[in-house]
Amino acid sequence: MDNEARRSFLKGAAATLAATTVTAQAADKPAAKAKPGSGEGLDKVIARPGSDFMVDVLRSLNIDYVASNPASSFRSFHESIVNYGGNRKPEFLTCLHEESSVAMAHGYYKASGKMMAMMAHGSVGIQHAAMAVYNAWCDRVPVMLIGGNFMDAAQRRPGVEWAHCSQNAAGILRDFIKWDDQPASLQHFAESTVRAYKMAMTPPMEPVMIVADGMLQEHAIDDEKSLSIPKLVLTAPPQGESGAVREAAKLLGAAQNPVIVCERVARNQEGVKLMVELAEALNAPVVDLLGRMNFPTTHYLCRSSDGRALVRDADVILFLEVGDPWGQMNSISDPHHQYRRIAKPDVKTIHVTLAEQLMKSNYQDMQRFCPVDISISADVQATLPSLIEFIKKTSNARAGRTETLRKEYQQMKARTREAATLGWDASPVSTARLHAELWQVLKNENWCLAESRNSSWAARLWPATQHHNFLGQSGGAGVGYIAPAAVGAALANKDKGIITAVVQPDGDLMYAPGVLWTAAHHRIPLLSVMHNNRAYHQEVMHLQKMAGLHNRRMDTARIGTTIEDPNIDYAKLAQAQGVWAEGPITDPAKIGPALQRAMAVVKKGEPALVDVVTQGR
Amino acid sequence: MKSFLPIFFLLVGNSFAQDQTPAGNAQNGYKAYLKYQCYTCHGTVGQGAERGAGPKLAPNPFPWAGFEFQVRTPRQDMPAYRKQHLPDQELVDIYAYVRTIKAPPSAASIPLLKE
Repeated sequence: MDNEARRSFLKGAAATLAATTVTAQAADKPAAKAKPGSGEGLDKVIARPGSDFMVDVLRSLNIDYVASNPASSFRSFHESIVNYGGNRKPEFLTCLHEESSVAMAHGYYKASGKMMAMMAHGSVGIQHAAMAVYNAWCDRVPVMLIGGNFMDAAQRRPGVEWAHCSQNAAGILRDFIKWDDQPASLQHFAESTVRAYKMAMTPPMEPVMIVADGMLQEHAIDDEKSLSIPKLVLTAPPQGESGAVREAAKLLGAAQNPVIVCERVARNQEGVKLMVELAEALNAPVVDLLGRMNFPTTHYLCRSSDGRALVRDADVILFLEVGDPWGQMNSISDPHHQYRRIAKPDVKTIHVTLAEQLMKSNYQDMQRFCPVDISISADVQATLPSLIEFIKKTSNARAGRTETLRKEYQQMKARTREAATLGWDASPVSTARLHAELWQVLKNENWCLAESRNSSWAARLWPATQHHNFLGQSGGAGVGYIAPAAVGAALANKDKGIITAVVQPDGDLMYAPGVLWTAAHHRIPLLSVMHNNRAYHQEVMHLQKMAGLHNRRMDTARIGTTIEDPNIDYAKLAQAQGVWAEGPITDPAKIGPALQRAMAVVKKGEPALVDVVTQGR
Repeated sequence: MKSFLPIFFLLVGNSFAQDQTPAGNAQNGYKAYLKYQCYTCHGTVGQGAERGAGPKLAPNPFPWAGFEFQVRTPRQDMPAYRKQHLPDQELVDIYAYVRTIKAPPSAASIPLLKE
């Protein structure tokens, strides 16, 4: 700071001190209206700003956390959270990137079933948030997005504030959020925020956005007695139409080889229980695509590893909220794009899904159109009781096949264990070994794996029975989800005595590694184990495919696809942000002891990271 | 990765000749296996990889004729490795390396994999 800048700073500080003194003295005086451009206002106090009421609205919705990177367009809201609200329910979570804020809220919902709010700054913060919002959209996860924006151009400060405001702040997200509004009054804010919450939590659940005008936040509440916060009553999820459900039950009951394929079904343990009841009523194998934890991996009907063979042999397939049923019944070769039917040509299909209730045109996350024989637009968990009831009333063609099914399950598990032995002592460490080692420190805990689709080994090897064991995946496969979602999940699990772990890909972490600092700062206990293959591994394989297709050399596929030379030291990266860490570990025998040490840290309520150098997949 | 290179690699060429498989140098084959990035889909010890990356190659790789055919004119998603980009001798060496990969311990003998 040069001398001139220092003088200027001291002058400003003196003025601030004077203003603070006046503020303290005049805290209970009604707000005076300063004339714009008059230079007046140093003695002006707004003791009850609109943002205090906004905090009341969030509290009425039982929102416990607001994840955010701080910004001037919601400075008043921020100040109201920490001072008026005492930084309790909601608590402000300091994030280093808006993408992290949204993904934390995403993971938090999946672990808790509760919505988290996040705040994003006008134009640029919302742009940063956008990819993570898209993931939440694809994954059918509700997030309360709050954008800051100054609509009244005459009130904006010159310079950056203009660049950070927009006419249509939510516009960039509108293709992948369920609803948004930009309230013009505090009453409008209350009603729209409660409406947004209610809409987000009604299946199909999705993110929603409220744009909180900066002046509405900062100005005094004019007439508080006239304000009211609407009562929240959540909408009961829609059940399937009874005639269609009965027809589905008849078809399933008569099937010789039915298979149940499920993806985003269970919202809680009750959903898992219903899925077991359904499968047992049909004695039908279940292929859990793990968008949520839908079915216990310990159950003899859990046959996820045999999915393709079961679909191939099936005479009836029951799809339950499956994002891509076409992809389950067909395959497409890559890079030649040749289609091949897997399912029988005459297989009967049933799909219970809410997909048709909410589909937008631009982003193509709806997958290929798949005609089915019975299509039921409904929430699966809400529909399962009636479907089970109808099935129990019909004849079951498979009642005597339990022993065969148990045997097939045991064979599948034996094949998995033998497959896990391959490369057991290899260095880099095999992904099977990594998961087997991690299981050793989790098996005696009440545990949660915050992301369970990036590798299939956990679902194949670990006995999982609880809805919170596996939290599925990002939804949109936007890289950068796993680390912040795991932090959000760990926050949700913190007070429940659930140990949260994540197998953390290196490329994913490097999108916004600052979330490790957030975990350390807020004392969020998370066990991160690096799946450090030093590459965007999938892209290496894509380069090889293209080189083969173009009849060119293969040995260049690592150019532009790897994260090496220099290798990133993830332990140091974590340590620099206050996270206990060890690694890189290349000897598989050293993983177990390192994980034990890390677990001791996590059990004390702190995050820990173990960097393991792994095989590609 | 030096741990993958036991000295007996140098000897396997002779044994291959006995079953009409072209003679290859396993040590060179390991280098070629890495150079041509076979390991990205099949793992550094031919163990294969999950999520559709590539099947296991070892232990007990399929016979040379099938191995060569698959590399040159692959079925399914594997990219084709044509002669001008993977010379015959290096492919033979790669096969020699794959054949040296030992079977892993059984699942029953690994405490971490017991039920």
